[in-house]
Amino acid sequence: MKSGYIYRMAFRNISRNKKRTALSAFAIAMAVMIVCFMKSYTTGLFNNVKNNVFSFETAHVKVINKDYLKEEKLMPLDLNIYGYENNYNEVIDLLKKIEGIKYVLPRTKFGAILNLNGKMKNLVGFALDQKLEYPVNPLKDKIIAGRMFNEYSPGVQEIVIGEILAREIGVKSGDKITLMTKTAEDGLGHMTFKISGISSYGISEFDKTYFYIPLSAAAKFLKMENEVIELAVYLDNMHRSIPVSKKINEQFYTQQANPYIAYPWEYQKDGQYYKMFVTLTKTYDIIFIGIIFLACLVIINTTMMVIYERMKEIGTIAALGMRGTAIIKLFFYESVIISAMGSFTGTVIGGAISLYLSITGINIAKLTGGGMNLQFSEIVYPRFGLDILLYSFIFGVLISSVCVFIPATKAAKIEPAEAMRGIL
Amino acid sequence: MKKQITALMKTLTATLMATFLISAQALAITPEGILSKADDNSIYQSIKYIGTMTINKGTRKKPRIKTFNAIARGNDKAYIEFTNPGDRGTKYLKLGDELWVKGAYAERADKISGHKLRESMMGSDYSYEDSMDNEKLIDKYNPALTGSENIGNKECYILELNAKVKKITYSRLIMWVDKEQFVPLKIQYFALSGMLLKEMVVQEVKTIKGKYFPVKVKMEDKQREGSYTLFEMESVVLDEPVNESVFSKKNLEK
Repeated sequence: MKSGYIYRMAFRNISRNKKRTALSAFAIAMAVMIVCFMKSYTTGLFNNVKNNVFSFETAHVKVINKDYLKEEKLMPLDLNIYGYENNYNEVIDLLKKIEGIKYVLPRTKFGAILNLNGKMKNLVGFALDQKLEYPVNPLKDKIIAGRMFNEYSPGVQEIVIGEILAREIGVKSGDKITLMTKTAEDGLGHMTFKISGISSYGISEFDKTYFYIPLSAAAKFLKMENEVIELAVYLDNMHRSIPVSKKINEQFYTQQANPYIAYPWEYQKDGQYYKMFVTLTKTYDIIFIGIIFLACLVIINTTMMVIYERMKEIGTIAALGMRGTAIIKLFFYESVIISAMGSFTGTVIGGAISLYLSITGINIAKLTGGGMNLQFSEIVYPRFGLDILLYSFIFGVLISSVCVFIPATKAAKIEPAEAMRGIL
Repeated sequence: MKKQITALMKTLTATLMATFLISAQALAITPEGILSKADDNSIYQSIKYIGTMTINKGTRKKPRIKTFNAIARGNDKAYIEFTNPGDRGTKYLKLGDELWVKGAYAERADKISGHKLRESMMGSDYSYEDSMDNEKLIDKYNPALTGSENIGNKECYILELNAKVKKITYSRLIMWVDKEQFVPLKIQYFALSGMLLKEMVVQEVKTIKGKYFPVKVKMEDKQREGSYTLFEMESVVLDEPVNESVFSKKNLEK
């Protein structure tokens, strides 16, 4: 029997029993929709964690003073990057010559204390160059009240503080706070800052304890005029962090003094972040496999039921002389058409939900009732991408088309008389 | 008769003098007596001096030199203003149990309290509490004489001091007190756990207004290898009236 004829027959069968077709397509659509959304969500969640770790903690490669590593927990400001003769820019210039490096950002992370009527509150400060930082870490876009600090402000230096911290200490933009720290010269840093803006990263740790000041303010506050603690290096391809670090270190060896080291994110904190990502990937894979399994069950169940409840029909067409291969083809075509319809609908609905939530985000804190000290942003943005849509569509069509073979092959082998009796 | 009276008077005087000398000797060699005399040398009514701290942090760093002007009155009030370029403008004010600080770029003073008082002052081996303390040791510790030993060529009593008050940083001290001048030439500071935290060795003593006053002291942090601070005092003026307005928050925030 010609394929074109079987194809027309399949279409006729589909339109003949609209209710059955709709139900099958609906089941496939639901399964595909869930797969599509969950793929977007888990990818978004993973990206969220990755972005947070890369933007503030590890970069792709960190260049630091070799001795800093030994005392990292104490954040010793005297073990810094001071350049070779004049300042840290000499090291930046050296790094910029290396292929694959996109951005080099000078930063200083330090501890500070806020005195709240005699009660000391420990905070973590970041001194940074906001203009250079913007493509990687757009602090400016995270400001929910006030504005970004000015790099140079006459009189009182400006500061951006986290939203939760501002709420806890009862301050708003325009107010002043005085912070204490230990300077790079082991002295006491004590400075009054004017709050130019309040930031919100949606990560409780960031919004509760982090504050941001310009490098020019850190020069006075921390006594680090031409020094920074780290150079955060971002690459064209983050997966090349190990070979690029090697290249950087080779460049460092060519210098007379060699106090610095390039440290790829995979090795930082004894590989803690790398292990965390491996675990996260595995966890998300397991979750996703579970979802896929459930979706497969729905699709297989629907497809098989459709065939088994049509055994008499199969017997009839076999009795009329239709061959086994033609019967398999007929059901395969039917399944492809129904699954394509269902998968398309599911992909459109799932894609639309993902697109909408990728803009608005999902507030995990609200969903969980808050109070969780999450290491990722409280607002998760699912990733909307054509690859996810295509993946979901193909998944739906492939699963239902493949699994139709089992019952269809079985049905095709049954004697017409038996099939007509409805005996399997 | 007259001769008899004179002889009796002589005997009485000799007896009284002998009794007085024996009592004085006895007072000097009791642990409390030694500690009181040591306190008398170390404790002042008021003090003014120019201080220098040379801070060594092992082989990792170059020594840091910090200079300051200090004024204090009794155990209640003290004012320190740093003068070295890196810390110029940093000021400390002790008012009773409170310690206030103001940096050069701060608009207001901040109070240092709680455990912060036990932290290093300006990166030195002195804590804020160490540097501001002028309280008599006899009021805080029960002394026991455990022996004698030479420090350099000076013969010293060894006193073991155990805290008699609850809120105290060092629960036990071992002190080597010069037998002649009653200056504590060496003190070891112990935590409640028995761990040796710090060791202070006096390197130079000057006689100021009848007191044997230590003017050069080495303080070693026994928990950090190679970490010590050499503390030197110059132009020391003891027990003279000081301007009270120095010890005010207004002066600190000026």
